[in-house]
Amino acid sequence: MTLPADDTRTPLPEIAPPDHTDHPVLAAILADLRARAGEVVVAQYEDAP
Amino acid sequence: MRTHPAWPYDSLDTHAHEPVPFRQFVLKVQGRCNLDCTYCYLYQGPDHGWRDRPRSTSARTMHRTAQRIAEHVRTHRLDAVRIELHGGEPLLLGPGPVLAYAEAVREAVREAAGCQVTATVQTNGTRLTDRTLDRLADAGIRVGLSLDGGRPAHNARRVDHAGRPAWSAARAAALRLAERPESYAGILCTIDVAADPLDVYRSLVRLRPPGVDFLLPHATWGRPPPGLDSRSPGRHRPARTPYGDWLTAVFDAWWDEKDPRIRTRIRLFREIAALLLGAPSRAEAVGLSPLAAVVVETDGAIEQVDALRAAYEGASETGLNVHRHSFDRALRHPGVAARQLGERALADECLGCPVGKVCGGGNYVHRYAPGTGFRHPSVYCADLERLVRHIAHRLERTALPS
Repeated sequence: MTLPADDTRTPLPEIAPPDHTDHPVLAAILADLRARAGEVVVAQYEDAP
Repeated sequence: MRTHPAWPYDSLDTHAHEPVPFRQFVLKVQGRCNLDCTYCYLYQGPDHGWRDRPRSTSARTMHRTAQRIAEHVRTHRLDAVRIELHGGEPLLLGPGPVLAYAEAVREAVREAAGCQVTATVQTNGTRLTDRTLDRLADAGIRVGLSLDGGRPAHNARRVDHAGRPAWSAARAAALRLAERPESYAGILCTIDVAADPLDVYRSLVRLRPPGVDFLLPHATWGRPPPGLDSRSPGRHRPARTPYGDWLTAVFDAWWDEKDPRIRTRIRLFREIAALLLGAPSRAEAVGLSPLAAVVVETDGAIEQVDALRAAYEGASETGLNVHRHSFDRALRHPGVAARQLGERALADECLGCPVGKVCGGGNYVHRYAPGTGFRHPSVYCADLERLVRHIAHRLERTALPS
């Protein structure tokens, strides 16, 4: 695929975390984000799992 | 004498920002590998510094490194750190050196404070016997595996020094780990765009890892990755997006997974989704979170992350060594400080890009161009935009109330 030139200035959508979801992958992500709340978030080295 | 780019080395005032303490220590146990993967940025790349280093880390260097980590924990009152036992192949001489290094760090940190030490060894799996796995598990050390897919063809580039495939031994390790979920940290998979993305994804999840990360092959504007043409650095559009296409195919399979038994985390996708939902990233591949990782080489040299070696000879060096310097000294190194600046480290094109806060300019080394350094968009810029916009579209449709 070729990324078209005319899309590249379109802002990304603003997506609020839903309070509830039945989607299993999104639910796991939301649970992970709740677990991160209050912690110091740093970027982890990529070459470690 | 190394020639570093002017930014950050000459022009960044490293005292003008508040450094973030290291929380992740990448400890080189072995300086050599029994494999000779054709795409390895460490042994096949432009930096040959590994040839001058000891093959293994001595007990003296392990002990000194452990003391330095404990010193850093005390100074910054850290309640948790991670150690990554790395190489080369860290299990090259069996589990003994890995166990000794982890124990040295835990003992030193235990004396310093009540800080939790999480230990992981990242291996190619070829030396991971049942006995080795037992000993690592007994010591509370989890295991990460490097694989490029779950079938022999996916791993054809992973060969030993005689050209023999590593797959059968690595597969045996993956099967052992699948039976030991408490010891299984996950799989790191370097993308081969010539491979079928769905075949790679499905074959990997059949190995039952708790997590997978898909890594873009380390490349720069001077050494573009397979499938992308050489161009001057910049935010080129229109542009082909073979890596973005590959990853979106995997994302859709993961997002739409119907089998409830498959709940494999995929770090890159999870972090992009987190960023789109307004949270900071835990990965260096995307987002603007400060990198809090540092490497200790087999001779005790304190270095920046290995990926920088894909840029130029000596790119990861700091000139510091645990035998003479603290980790706090490394926090003031321009290369380390640059990785903690967030948006202030980005190129102008990235600052004006609507995707910039999510992709974060991509992996730092992928921004490098010979002669002008690291303040460029990623060589994967168009691929990252393709992936981020696709995930944003899928996430928006899933998250919106129906």
